[in-house]
Amino acid sequence: MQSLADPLSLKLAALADPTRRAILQRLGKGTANVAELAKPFAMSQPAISKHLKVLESAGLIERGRAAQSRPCRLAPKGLVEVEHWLNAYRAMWEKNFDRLEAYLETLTKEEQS
Amino acid sequence: MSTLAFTTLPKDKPMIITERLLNAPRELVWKVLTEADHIKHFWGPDGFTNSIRQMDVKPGGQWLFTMHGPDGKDWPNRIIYRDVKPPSYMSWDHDGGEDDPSGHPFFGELELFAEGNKTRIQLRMTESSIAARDEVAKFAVAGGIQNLERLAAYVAPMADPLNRFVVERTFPVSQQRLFEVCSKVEHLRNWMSPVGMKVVKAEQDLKPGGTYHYGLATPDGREMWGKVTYREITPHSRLVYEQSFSDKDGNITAHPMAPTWPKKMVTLFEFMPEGPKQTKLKISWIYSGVDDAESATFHTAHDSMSGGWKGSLDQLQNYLAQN
Repeated sequence: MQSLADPLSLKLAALADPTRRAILQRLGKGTANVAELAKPFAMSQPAISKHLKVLESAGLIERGRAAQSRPCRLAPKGLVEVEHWLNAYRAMWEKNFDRLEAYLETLTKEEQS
Repeated sequence: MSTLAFTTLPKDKPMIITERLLNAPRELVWKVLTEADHIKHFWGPDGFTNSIRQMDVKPGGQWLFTMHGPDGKDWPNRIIYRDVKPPSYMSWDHDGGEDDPSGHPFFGELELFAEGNKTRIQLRMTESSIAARDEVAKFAVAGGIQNLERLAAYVAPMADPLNRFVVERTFPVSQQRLFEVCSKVEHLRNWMSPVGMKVVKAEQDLKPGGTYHYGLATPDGREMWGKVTYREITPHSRLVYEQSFSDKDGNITAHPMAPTWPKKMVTLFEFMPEGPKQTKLKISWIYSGVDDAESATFHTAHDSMSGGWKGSLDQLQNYLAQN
């Protein structure tokens, strides 16, 4: 197991779990506390709390300090870094294919002239 | 290049033991090792294909097959099973069969150990003497490791489809042309790097086991290095290599931005002719390693790309943009 100390890896690891993605999706609709988040899942509150801890330390959610229920909300910039990285990865082969297509065209033209 | 598969040559027994942890459950590994339609795709060293005449995995049953080497040479094989205990153990007598009476005979065993959702496979060959074993080991060790690496890459995407990510596109050129442009360095350096990157090094030894070491520089002067180790080069239909990030001396490193990105991925290029001047290129990346953090990172990226998140990220971004 490698170190998960860097922010992007932490976020990717946090997002790798379907329950945590579902929690994020739920939080996309607004703030919620642990009890509310646990409801749609067949999971105990402590189990949900563990997932929340992972999401919080990855910087994907924020939790209120004052209230006992510690309401959760999405961290405003949490996903930006992940989005950038995924977009770059996604685009890379599309662009490479475009370049390959252009290069093949050049080769064919060179042969014909 | 180090692999997850490794070999042990015991001092006191005339055995060659090859072992690897596979990212797949034991029942599945057993299945692909006992069915002709599966095993023909990965059995043997890199670049080998198989013609299977018969495969009947039961005590006294036979597996008759010919392995076709990358050099065109054929190797007839006959296996007669002794013990068969699904899904964990089998043993057999191996020789060249009637087609090749001189084929080298040995006793073979295969054992599968369940380790959670993973499976440890051990292949054991027993030769007639330590001296005979040492002689056979000269070629069989590398072949055995390659065999298990091929099995690992075959079975991982079956265990979880997210262990493979595929992109494809059809290009208006012949199969041969596309194969050359995707394999030879004088072509690769003209297209296989992100726009705006300068190629600072591209050193290629295009043969099985050979490497391609390259360096790219961004406009602001940062460098990115990568290394490829070729496993199979089959003109003009297949190209298989292992892909990694590296430093400028060619040592394998983690992804510069995402340390839990797989250190090694198997990359498979398939060139499929669709007409005299029409060829489909299909590229598959396969994660055949056993590190849970690496596999989670690989899955996250590809699940999101293939729509597995059902737009949840987009939705979240929209929400965040509005708040």
